[in-house]
Amino acid sequence: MKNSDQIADFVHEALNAGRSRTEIQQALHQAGWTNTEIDAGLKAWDDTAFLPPVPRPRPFVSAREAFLYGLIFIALGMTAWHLVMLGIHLIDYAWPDPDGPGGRFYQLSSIRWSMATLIVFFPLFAWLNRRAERATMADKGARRSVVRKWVGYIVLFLAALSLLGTLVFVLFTFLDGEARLQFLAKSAVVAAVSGVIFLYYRAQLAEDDDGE
Amino acid sequence: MANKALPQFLLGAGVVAALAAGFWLIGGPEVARTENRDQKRMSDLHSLQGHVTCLARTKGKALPQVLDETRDCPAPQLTDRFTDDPYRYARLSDTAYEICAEFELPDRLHTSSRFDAETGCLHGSYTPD
Repeated sequence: MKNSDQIADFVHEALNAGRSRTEIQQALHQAGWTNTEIDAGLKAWDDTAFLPPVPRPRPFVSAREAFLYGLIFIALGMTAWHLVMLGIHLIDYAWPDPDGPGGRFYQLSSIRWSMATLIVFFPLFAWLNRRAERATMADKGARRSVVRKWVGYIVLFLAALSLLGTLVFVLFTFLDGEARLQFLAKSAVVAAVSGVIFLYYRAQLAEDDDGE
Repeated sequence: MANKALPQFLLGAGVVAALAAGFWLIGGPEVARTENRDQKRMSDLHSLQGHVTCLARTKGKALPQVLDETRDCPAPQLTDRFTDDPYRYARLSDTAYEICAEFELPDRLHTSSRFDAETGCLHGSYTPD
């Protein structure tokens, strides 16, 4: 049993037994719970005289949401990865590094793979994301989806890692004396794609928190 | 909502721009078909190199004057399979030769020291052992 469940159960029984919120708070405090934990436990039940205690809405998990957000996550991942690869290969193609490896034919088929993947996955992402946005606009309760929150934080985490990794790599290459314009342009592509995704998901998570 | 709209727009614009740049720089399916034809021609030239070596081994340990079919060396594709023009063979010296084809987009082929993109010729050599 999670701490929050344990405390919410206790609050439920105490309220049912007719104890006041102040009494409950004191009892929990004596038992060693912190104020944040006590607040969370009390917040799980609405502050009215109505009995039995009225539950407040809690985060939920649903298979349908897992499907939708899983697909959004994969579609976004494919879009981001292939957008970066396409950018890097196009830079190589349009602006070949004289010291780099040759083999334009190989690049051409990579470029076509990335284009095909983007043509499938980006519209899929845009469409599913729009659906998810509409659903959360229409029903604020959808914002309490645990899957939505997790996917948001995982994307944010990966985007942050990618930004930090790029920064370290650029600095290393610079210190190593190899920071050429081609390399900087490619790093800018990675940073731009991760940065845009980071900003989007940070805004989404902030928006969802406001709604609670 | 406002601070979500901008990144959303930027991502979409990035994808559209990358796709447009892709089509513009490397071309669509028509160009790809041309590249594939060139690839076939190049692989024909490589088979012809094997044929030259075979002819040289079986006919007096010297590079042949012309490419023909013998009992020991069945001829590979001797003409361009798309235009029916014969591939050009030329003896440059006793040990060096070149085989050429009319490539449509020679710049897009693998760069190699043996292949001259300007003339469409693949250079080869034969040393009798």
